[in-house]
Amino acid sequence: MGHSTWRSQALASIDVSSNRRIIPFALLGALILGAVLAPLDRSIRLELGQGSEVESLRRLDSQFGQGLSVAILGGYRSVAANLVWLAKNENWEQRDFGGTLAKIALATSIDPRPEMFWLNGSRIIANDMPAWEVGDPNTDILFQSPEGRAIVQDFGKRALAFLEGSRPYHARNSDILLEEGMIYWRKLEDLEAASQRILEATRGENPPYHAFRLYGEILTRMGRKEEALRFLESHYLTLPDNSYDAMKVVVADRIRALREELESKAN
Amino acid sequence: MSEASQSLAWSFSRAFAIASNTFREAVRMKLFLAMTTLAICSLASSFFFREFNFGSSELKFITDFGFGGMSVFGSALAVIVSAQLFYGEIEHRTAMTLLAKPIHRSEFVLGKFMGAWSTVLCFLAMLTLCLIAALWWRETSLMAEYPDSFQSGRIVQYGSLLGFAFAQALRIGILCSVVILFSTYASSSLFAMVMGVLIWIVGQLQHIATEAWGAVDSWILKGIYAFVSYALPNLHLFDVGEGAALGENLSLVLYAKLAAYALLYGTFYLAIASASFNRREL
Repeated sequence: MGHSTWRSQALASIDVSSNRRIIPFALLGALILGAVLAPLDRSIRLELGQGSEVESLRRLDSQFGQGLSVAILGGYRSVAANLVWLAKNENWEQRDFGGTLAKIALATSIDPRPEMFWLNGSRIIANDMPAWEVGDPNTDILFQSPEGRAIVQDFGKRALAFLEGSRPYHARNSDILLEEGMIYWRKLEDLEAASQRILEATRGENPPYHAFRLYGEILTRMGRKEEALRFLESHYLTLPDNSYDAMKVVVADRIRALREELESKAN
Repeated sequence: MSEASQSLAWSFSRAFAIASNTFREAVRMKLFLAMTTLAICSLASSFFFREFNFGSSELKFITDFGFGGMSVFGSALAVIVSAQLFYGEIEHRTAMTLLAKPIHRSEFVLGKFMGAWSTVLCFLAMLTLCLIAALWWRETSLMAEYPDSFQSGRIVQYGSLLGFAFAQALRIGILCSVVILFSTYASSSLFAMVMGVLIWIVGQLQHIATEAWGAVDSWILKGIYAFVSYALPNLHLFDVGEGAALGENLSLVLYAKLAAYALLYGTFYLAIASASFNRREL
């Protein structure tokens, strides 16, 4: 039997179901290809920094149904995060600690890039929640009694822990560093840690002008007035004349006041 | 396969001829126009939904709508167009007229794939242009309104938008090849479409199966997760839009890796589709 005759007979013997015979070979081929491409898959995921989404998808499904999960998987990520943030407002209005914290965490896990989620989230934890804890008529105790200050410090620490989560996405973000500095300053009354964070904020990405003024102020409060004067003098030289935000006149007044104070002390 | 086509040399030009006919047929479909209009409307709606934007910058919000449109509508179009164009030929018996001529079935498979894929590429190109135009217009308005926020120039990385569109083109290429593979087995176009949608969803979630594989104790579940991890492509890899639009410039090496990944999967599925279609009685 010639080769071509054998081939023709073999082809003729193939029936309708014969294309199903290759299914096991196709599956085996797919598995081998998957195994071969697994290192490439890992390398791409690593380069893109794609983290785990299991937890955020599970929480989304349980709280919002599967619509938002589909939205995320389909690419409408920031839309889904905004909807979660919107839903959070209802919990916030009802002063629901658990619901508010869960939705803030969920919004930042779906889309961790907007700094507003981090800043507003930390402000809710550090500023609003202590007042919820004691109730509106008793907010004075937050500033007067040791118990009240302990509550403020506790929520301040929680806000800092929350902001720590922004580090992989906003490591050099001046606004977030400044927010941390203000929590250390106003809530934990830890001026040393606050000054370090605010200094980092002045060296971060697009530092706002007020970060420099705050660093000068905190150095003054810590008694490091010569250092504050030197810092503000060097900052003054970089300020533009025509910007309202730069507040060049205010900085000049502060420098003058510090000089007079230091001179009077020297005399 | 006819005796004539067995002795015929394989030709790209015949595959291209089928592809160009398929493309012409596809762009005349009402579905193509409807999907393109819907996607552009979805992008335009981002301007109306600006008041519901609380966290991200306005430009990122618009970008997200554009990326979502490319990804969702592009994938839906890929599934429907591939199934309609391939299985439609078998269903309406027009494939028999074509395959009676000296032509390899693998040329037919490749031609149909290229036709379907180029239709979705056309859709992606139109949406990318609309997105770039929308962002450029809005960024120019914002620059005039808030000059302090744009001291270092424009913030949208327009090159990265093209990078995202390229990644979606690759992802959709895999999806088209999968749907064509199922069309070669299918006994109805609905089956091919449903399988295509399932592969789209499972492929998008494949990385979760990979994560869960190491986290479960049951050997049966481990086996299922391992199978899903290895047997299906990870379509989530092509979601490069996270940092691409505003700020992060992804390396060309990364795009090359994505292209290699898509090329290998696409070639594999088309090879299986050709083998299957060769053995299918029409």
